[in-house]
Amino acid sequence: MAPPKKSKKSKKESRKLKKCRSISTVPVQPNAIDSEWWDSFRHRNSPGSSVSHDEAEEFKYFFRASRKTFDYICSLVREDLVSRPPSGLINIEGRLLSVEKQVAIALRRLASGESQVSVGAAFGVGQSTVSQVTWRFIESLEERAKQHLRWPDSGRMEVIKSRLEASFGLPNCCGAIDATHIIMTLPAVQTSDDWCDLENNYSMLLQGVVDHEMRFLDIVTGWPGGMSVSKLLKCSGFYKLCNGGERLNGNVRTLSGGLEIREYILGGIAYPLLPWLITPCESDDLTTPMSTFNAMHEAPRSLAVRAFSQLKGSWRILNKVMWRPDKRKLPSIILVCCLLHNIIIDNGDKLQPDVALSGHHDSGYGEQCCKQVDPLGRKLRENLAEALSAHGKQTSPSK
Amino acid sequence: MLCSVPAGKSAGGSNWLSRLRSNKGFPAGDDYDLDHFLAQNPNPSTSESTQLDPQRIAVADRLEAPPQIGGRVEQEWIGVMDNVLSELFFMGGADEISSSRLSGKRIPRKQTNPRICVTSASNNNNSGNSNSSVVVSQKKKKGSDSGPKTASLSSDSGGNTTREANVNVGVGVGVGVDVNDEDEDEKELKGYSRSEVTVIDTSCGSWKSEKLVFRRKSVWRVREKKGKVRSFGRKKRKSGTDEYDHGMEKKAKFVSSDHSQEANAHLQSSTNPSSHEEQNLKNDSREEVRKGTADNHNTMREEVSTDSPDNISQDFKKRQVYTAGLGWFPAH
Repeated sequence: MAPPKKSKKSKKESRKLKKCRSISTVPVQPNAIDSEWWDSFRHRNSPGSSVSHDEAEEFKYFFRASRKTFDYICSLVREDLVSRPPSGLINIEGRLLSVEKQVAIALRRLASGESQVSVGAAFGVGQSTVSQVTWRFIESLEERAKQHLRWPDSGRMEVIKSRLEASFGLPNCCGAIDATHIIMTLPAVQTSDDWCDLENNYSMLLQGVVDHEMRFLDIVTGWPGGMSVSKLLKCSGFYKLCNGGERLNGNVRTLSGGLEIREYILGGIAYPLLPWLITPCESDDLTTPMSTFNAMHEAPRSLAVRAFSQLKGSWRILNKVMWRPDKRKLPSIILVCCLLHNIIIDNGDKLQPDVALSGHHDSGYGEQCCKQVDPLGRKLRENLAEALSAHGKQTSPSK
Repeated sequence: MLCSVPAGKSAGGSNWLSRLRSNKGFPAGDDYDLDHFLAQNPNPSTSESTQLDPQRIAVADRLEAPPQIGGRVEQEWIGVMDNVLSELFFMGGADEISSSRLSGKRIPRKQTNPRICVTSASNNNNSGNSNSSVVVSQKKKKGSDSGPKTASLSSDSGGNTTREANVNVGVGVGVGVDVNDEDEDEKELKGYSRSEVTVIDTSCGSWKSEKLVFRRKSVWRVREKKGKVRSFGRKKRKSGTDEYDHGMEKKAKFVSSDHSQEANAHLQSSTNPSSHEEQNLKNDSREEVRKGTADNHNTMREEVSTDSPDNISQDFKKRQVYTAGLGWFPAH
């Protein structure tokens, strides 16, 4: 029995070698920057009436990023995506896919949310290639772009606080929190009430804390849509850190009149009122200071709402109903979209306002209401209302 | 009481059926007259075994004594207990045993899925006598099934078996099927639906983690997923049940990818592609090779709870959305 085995093995090896040789004949220049793909892509997808004739704007329209940012993204993932024979991906003509083309395919897939087949057709590659390239890109970026999504250090937090105060008049505010549903369908064997949300959609939740520039400072995703927003918060590491005094524990601001304001973030009525999470006051007979506070609370809080609209609008894969996604992989897709959102902000690309969703990011979902009130949170809210009221009497809040 | 087995027939090397009949004390030959046989000899094996096994004589005496006191009641008892025991053990007739012998396979004594039977508990409370009758009635069956030698063996183990059976029943009533001491947490979570989730949380050291989510209405409990997740509220599995898991996984995979998956669509791993969309297109044959190797087997232990009727309409809606862009790839 041994000899035939040996021969089989050698046959296999020789076949492998042959394959290597044949593939190595394919022109490879891993470090060369490929720009042909763009011309070819542009040619295939001749701009319609909705697309600007400015090439730079056109590029941004398709990939949500400027050419410069696109190149930066390529540089992040180059090492993982560069095609090396024999494992490199090849296109229909048998040429290895450049990193640029792979990144473009992945970005287009995430940005448009179109089917793999459609995206493949736009680039002249097969559906399977789109699938593989996109997942490779996601795996790579979620490891290599972590620096774009992190809780700011104290120095950076001071900048955020001052910008928020300058814009919205709220002292010592560190950002805003919100959550959204990523809707999906599930195969019958995986359906569970856990994933079924209040609107009878199967969904996965995404919670994010954003700064004054709508940059995500913290996200948590993967939790089933059946959870309430307040429960999602309580399941998050962010909640544990804040409750444990390890986050939002920076300088306490002492206002004129001796009122002390600690660091906090803003949330909607779906969130509990906590010492570090300030929600609007829900009451039938609001005092004047509290009405003022509610009005001033709304604008900075809506930063988070707008951030999610921008996210879901830019990366439309998150806004379409995902059809039977792998629930283990979906969080990575969501994370990478958030990373891309931040990379674009960090690189100074102006976010296109027309890309964002026109309506609410969670359209069709009524806002839940959380009745939980922490006494320390209430006290902080009262202090803020008082301070704003006093400040309002002196000068009208700048916007 | 003894049935007359025609010597000529049994000794004369007649067919197997006759030999079997004679062995079991049934009338052989053409003239079965079973009615007569049954009326005269309701328990031929016992009487037969009494001849062969001295231990059984005492048992049979005990068994035969009660009918003198209250024959009908005892008969009912035996009937009830036979039903109970047949839930716990294979009480099959001679055919079953003999066929199993012929095929060389051993039939396990215990039923694979014993049903919980509350009656047995009340029976045990009644009297020691009823307990002994359980043992005897079982022995009786065993004796009739497998001849004297087996009968004596089973008479040795019969008491133990019954005790074991009672323990099983007790456990079955109180706790459920597969609960270990280690799983006190899970005991608490009985009645909760369970989902396995992959969470990405940028506030945690390792962003990605696997969790188990238990839910009952608005009550949620979260556990870190252990390396090996114990099945909860399910049938106990033997150690070598990987094939089962594989099978399930394959099945689930097939179901989940039965329709073209825009889905997985949403992004297949290059190392773990699983959509039929890809397979159907056969763009990359390597994927099929990788496909079998990848997945985490634990994931198949995910408890799937209710299948809401909504998902049907939802799927339908979704298809409407996606088929336009995707095309429809037929299932295998």
